[in-house]
Amino acid sequence: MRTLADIQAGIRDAVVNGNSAAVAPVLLGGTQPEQRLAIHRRHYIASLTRALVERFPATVWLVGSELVTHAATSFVREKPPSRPCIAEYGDGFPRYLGAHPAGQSLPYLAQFAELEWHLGRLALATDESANVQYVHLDWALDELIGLYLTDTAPDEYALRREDAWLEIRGLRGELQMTRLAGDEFARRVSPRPAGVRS
Amino acid sequence: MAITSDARPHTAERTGIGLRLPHIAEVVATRPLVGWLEIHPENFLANPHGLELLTDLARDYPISVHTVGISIGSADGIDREHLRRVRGLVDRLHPVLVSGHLAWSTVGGAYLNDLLPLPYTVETLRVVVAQLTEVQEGLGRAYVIENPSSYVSLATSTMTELEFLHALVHETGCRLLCDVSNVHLSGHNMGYDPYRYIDEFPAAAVAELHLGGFTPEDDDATPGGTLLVDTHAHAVAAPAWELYAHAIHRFGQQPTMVEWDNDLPALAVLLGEAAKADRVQERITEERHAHLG
Repeated sequence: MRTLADIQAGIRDAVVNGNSAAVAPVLLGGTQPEQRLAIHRRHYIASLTRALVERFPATVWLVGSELVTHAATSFVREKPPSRPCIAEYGDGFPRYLGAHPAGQSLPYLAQFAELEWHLGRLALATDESANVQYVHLDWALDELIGLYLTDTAPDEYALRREDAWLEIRGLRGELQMTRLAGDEFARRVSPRPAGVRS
Repeated sequence: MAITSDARPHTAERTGIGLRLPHIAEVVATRPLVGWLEIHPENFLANPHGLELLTDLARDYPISVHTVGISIGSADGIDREHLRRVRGLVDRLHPVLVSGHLAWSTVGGAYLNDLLPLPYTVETLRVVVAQLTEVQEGLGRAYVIENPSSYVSLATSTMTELEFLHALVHETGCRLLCDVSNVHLSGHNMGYDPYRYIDEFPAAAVAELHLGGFTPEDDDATPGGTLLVDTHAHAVAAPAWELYAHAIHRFGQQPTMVEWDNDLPALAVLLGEAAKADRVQERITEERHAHLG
């Protein structure tokens, strides 16, 4: 292990996978430098897990922090970010969460988290940015997440399985979810054929 | 009655603060007296509303852009898409400084969300020189390089960190950001004299100073020992303040910024840290003038 590329690949293995065998021979620092390198691993795991948990507060409300944190910790090990903007990290987490062993008994979980992903992004929108999203749901999850957003959750809630075609608009912290008819939804999300004007 | 006003109360001659998202609404509403605001562009590139607020603040405050994702030491090269996005933000904000770290964070398509150690070798110098040139061309302006915080070093290094920085300045003419807290932390962890580090730092290249808090942790490998971890989660510690005074003696007055990124305190606490740095600069400057007088 001599080249810069070799060393960086070895440090990546240590940080993401906890395997420092390749880089250990070239580490210096105290009597156990591998333990010092583990500071970076702990930061990698903790900072990204925290970022995911904080990005999905409604999902935490729905299924508990233990499940979300456990899934997030696995996610950051298996799927490191590809970009430095951590606010953009986690678009794949809803599907991962839905497939997680602890989440598989909740068939609506992935869609709920994905709905939250869109809401979180749109809450930061302005007039000059993308501020609308069209989402199809198999459950009345807009109603469910609305209970979280308005802090009006009853003691019991029966989640209905039903098609919901949503238009979600966001602007400077304000969010609006509107149900559309199926054909109207299809019209709005379909690209217009060339030469056809609205 | 004489009426005076400071038409530009916010100036890099006063100490600045790191502006983090939880504080932005309060800063917009109250416009506190502070020298300047330093931001991480990575916090705003996916936050149009935050960027809108920041653009408003840029009308009243000097802004410094301090990147954490440029990864200038990556053997894989610069993330050019990220560089392009940072350029867009720089063009919008017209910052007084743009800076980043002598470190790396991306490899094999993965961004590791940390500032990782470099071996100080001829190969690394060649990579950093080339990528610093690319970054400066991509940004259309100078890119200031910060000294890292260290827990380990690499046995393949053929020069010290200071020798590397001197070589980098010699090769590129770049400016440097001296993070005084990092000097203290790294000196403690790696066993060197932080005052000597300051004395041998390329003084003519200094463009900015940073101060930030760190967290002591038990060094499990050394019974009774501690490691200082660069968490930016506390107030600046007394030894760092003392080293900062020494740095002002050596470098003269410099734009200084206080960082606090985690476990954020009330804004007033952060502003208090900035005011403390102002007082240190004023005291040292007066002492220097008295000595020369």
